[in-house]
Amino acid sequence: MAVRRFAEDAEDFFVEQLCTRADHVYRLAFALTLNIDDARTCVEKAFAAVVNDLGAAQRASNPLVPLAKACVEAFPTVRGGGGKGGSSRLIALMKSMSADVRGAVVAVDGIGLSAREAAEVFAMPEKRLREALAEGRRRLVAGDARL
Amino acid sequence: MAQQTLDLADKDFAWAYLPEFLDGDLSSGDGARVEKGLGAGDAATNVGQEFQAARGKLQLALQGYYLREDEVMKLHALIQDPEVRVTKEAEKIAASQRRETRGTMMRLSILIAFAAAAIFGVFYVFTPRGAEAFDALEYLGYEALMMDEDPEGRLNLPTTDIREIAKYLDSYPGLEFKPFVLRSMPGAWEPNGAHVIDYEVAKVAVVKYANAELKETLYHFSFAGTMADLPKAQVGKEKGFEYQTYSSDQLNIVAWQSAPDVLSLIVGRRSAPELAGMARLGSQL
Repeated sequence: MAVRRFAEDAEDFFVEQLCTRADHVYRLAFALTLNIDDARTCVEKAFAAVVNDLGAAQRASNPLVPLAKACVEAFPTVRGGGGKGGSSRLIALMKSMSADVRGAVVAVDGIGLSAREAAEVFAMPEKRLREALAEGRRRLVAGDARL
Repeated sequence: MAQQTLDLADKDFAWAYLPEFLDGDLSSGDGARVEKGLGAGDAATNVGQEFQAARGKLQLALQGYYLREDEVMKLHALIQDPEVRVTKEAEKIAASQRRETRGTMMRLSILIAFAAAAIFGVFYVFTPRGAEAFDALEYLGYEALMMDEDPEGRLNLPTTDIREIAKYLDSYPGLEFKPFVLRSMPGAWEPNGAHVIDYEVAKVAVVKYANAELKETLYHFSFAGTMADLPKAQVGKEKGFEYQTYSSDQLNIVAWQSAPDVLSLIVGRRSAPELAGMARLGSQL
């Protein structure tokens, strides 16, 4: 495989700041796709997209934001069959929510983005993100026993 | 300063700002609105506790989803030739070992200096003195403050990857105990490096955590021992998790028995109940 050449600081940034957050992106991707294979594809596409504009990622105050944003943008292109892999109880809980709602609750309460960062990730006004978050948290508490 | 809030419908406001309410980050007016939305009296407290428990369970369930080593390497390969990566890692390990050797030599020098001073003192006053026991609270409280004040070069493994930290501590040569690693931390707390301190009388594994949002750090120390080695203190119990708390004017310390022969201390500027909550959450795995 041909590897593009990058400045050493860009390589270090990619490995130390982005690759170390790959699991967080994978969890967000799983929350959206509910399928571990689709989630992996989503992560690969997100990283490939961020590599094309590493400068923007380096300027971000939280490096997870551009990765998560690229993951959300990749989601419609990898949508396959849902409900494959991992904890079936988690899948059952997630299935009770729309993609926007489970994405919001996992982004904020699962992987630690702020509501403002999550709104940027999902390209939606913060007010709408907060409404989705409220819905997700209600369902999370109601379905707590499933986890 | 209280957080600015958005104008949401009453039914959504309480849930949308619940964590900020629980952290005391809302104005009194917004806080009252959350309480009203959740129900009068103890209802708000109960819902808050249920939410925190559910969020913890969600985070634990999500911990089960992670990429395999070969999948992460595939991502590395997008930007870095695998052969170059191996070379750089070897260089990093060599640099890390050099730092470790320097650190050990420095500690050894300090210990020798102290030992020499002690021998001189004994000789001077003709009074025999016994060896001091390992005072974990004093030593590790001091280490936490020093690592905060001058963090440069104090951690031999500067990484944010908890699996790398676990592997490093598990394979550390000469440890007489299996270090306990908190795999799950709430909110924006992220691992920020690891180290093994060699005091001669005891080896101590330390994992540093950082919270970029709070701009705070905390440290998880683990070493061979039991609670009986520590001074008696207030005992806390939460959902079967038993711990003891200590505090100084700058730090709070929560101690618990993380394994039958391993004692853990979590040291930071957060409140003792919050530190205990982190210890409990991290101990559930």
